[in-house]
Amino acid sequence: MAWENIISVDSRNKSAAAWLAIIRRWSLIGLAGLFALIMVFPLFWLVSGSIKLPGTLLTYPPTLIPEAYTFDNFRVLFQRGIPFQTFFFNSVVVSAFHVGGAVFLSSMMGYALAKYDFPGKKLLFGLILLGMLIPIQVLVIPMFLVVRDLGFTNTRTALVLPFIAHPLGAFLFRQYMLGVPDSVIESGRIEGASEFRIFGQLFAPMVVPAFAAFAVVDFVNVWNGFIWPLVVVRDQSKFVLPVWLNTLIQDPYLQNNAMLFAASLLTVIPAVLLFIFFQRQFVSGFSATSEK
Amino acid sequence: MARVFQTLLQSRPRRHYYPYRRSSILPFILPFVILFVVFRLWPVLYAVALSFHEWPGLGDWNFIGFGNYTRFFTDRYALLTVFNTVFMGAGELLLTIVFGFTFAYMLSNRKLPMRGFFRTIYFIPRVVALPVGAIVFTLMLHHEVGVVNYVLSFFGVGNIPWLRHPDFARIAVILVRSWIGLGFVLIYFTAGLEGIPDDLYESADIDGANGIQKLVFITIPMIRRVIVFVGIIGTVAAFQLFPVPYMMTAGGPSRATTPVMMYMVNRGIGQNQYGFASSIAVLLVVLLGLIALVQFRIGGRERNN
Repeated sequence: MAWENIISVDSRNKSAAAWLAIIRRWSLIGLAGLFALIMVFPLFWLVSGSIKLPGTLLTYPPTLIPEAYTFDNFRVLFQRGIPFQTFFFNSVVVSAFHVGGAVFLSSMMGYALAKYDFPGKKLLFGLILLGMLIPIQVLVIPMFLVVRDLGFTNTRTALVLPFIAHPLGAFLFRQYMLGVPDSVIESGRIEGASEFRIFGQLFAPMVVPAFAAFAVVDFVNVWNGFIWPLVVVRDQSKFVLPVWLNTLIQDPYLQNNAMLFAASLLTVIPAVLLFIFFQRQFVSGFSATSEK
Repeated sequence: MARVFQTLLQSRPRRHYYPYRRSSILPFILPFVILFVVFRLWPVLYAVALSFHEWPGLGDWNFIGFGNYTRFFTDRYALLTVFNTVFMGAGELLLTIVFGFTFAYMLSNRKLPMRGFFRTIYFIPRVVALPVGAIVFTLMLHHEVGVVNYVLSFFGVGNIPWLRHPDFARIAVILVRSWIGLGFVLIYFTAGLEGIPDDLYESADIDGANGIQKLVFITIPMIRRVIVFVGIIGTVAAFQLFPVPYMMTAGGPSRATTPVMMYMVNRGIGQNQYGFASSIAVLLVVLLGLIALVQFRIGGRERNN
């Protein structure tokens, strides 16, 4: 009798434990799902708002999925005095030259730091470290004055040139390149190739992952950059997308909030698409750069 | 960043078996160095020199010694912007660390299906531009018709005057920044959790520890370093606070969301007080340099362990 009792208690506990495991599992999934909903909701709200009829964005109670939708909010962006494509073009050009220039110059600098000895190398490396530890944003005022002295404020060049000597980039490339054996370079020298060709044709292909990780993070930073373009560019026709969003929000004649959402959505889409396609590079890029 | 300093100390001279001409490496170095000196080094020196002067952007520099610095530390508005920055930075740090850890902890649980999907969803806001975050949240947090107050009304919370009340406006800024900044913190916590050896948990299982005990006595102590690191990076990031309050609240109400950066840009480019603005830049460089030094110390200690 007592023996049977023990067995039955034991089996009852077992099924209780199994139930507990199931409850735990589903509450975990539920919690993860709830957090996912919260994180994605602002983006969902952005999409849903961008296709709402003008004047229906701020209705109470809020409608999650609009009953009537329209793409007019997007269409009018292309028909404004300065159309959307101008700003999009500015952003694309600035980002392309910014990322391309930074990858090019910083990788060469990183290569020199990793693979060459030259006088002043320690000093230069120290300065680069200092440069990467101080966020460039805090220097906007003196940088603005320097660019003004050189006479190219209010140009798209001012959004690119000051940033392509990227200290963090040089540092990251140095770190990565230290791990590539010197024998690659030496074999090139035996063949009699020029130093530049060794770097471009033999060495660079081996560090493509570092290029990709740095490039995607740098792209998102410049695509979303706000303070410097706000400070240094005055002509609306030269604005990049985030600064243009700011002028839209400040525009006292703008009555249609849905249009503002449409403009925001168009600003976000390229970065989100890039992230979805290059997720791995983003994660390794962010963890290497530690740029928040 | 800790790795920065570790590897710094590891660099050693290498021998070159096949010679190359010294001059052939100049093209690798010169373009970078020229741009670096002109656009990074020179602005720092410029700011230091200018910070001891009064200068409206034209004409002669007027030397005033430490006048700009004493002005900063005695100006109530200036000090308020420091307080605002610290307040909003601390709030963001708290929120992103608590939720970043929670998310990473959930994702580290192998019983959770579709972990890759959830990680992607949690990370996506990181690539959203801060101005876009400001725009979306401005309408979501509208005090009368905003969706946030609508949802809260189901829980019996009355209409919160988000952007119209100093403290709630600060919280609104914190919410936007945390939404975007969380993905970054999540990456670091995920890496930290993956670095904890499984046998620690296994031996805890043998000792009969429950989930909470394992969390408190194994997980959190093991990722303490990550928390400190994220805290330092977050502190540095907090001092760059600018776009969100600029677009959401224009620094108000009653200046409650004006950060140091906004004050500096406004005094410099807005009011042509370039000397004063430069002194703020110098103070920020010194402060962030000191924080970097703390980071260096922590990195050094890590290396010795």
